Amino acid sequence: MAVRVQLESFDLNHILYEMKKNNALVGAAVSFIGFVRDLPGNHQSEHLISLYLEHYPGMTEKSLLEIENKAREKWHLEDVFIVHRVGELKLYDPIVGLIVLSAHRKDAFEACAFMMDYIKTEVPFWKKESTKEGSRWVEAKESDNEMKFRWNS
Amino acid sequence: MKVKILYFAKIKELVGLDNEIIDLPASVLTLEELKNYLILRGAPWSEIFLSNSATRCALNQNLMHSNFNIEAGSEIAFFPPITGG
Repeated sequence: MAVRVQLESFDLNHILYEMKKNNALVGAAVSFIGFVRDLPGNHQSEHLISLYLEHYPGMTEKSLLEIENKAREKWHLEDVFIVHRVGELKLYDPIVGLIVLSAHRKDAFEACAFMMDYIKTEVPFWKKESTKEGSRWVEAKESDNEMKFRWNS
Repeated sequence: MKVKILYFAKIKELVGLDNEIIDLPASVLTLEELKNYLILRGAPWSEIFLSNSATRCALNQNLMHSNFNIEAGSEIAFFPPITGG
């Protein structure tokens, strides 16, 4: 069980095999990586140059641990790892990584999706995009909230 | 009573501060009263709490969804909707 908020990149495969190697009860591993992607559209000026991620130190780590605990109440999980980067990121960089280890795939798949939906809407991170035209804060999407609400039913 | 107010992201840029300690008058006891107190300062607070109703709030690092009572020494944060992940 670990939660990391860091400036540096990460190698999720390496972390996954380190977590798994001494746990004989793990039958399934699901991992997710979110990457910095370009803006939709074809205008040259609308290409993303960089992405800045701000966060609320203290609350960020606390919120990530709470989300892990919520997932552990709903599913049988062997281990969880969450990493989220902050600061200046470039196109193609990984932003967020998640690993879920469990005995069976259903728990791992569902818990991974659940935690990502909560990370998108309840952990205090904010993205600011920079293009040739300047920089602007990313607007929250209602679809992200809807993704979270599906777990309430 | 004194409270610590934190601002993040776009709201931090509008206010021009990342935090401030405010000694509240005795009449300010809840989040709603705090917002009204800040709105009376004029822009940018009026804009943050009136024009932009999407402003989110955390009390002592817990995301809040409704009004609450303020205690001395509280850490109250204002920020836009979350866009991480």
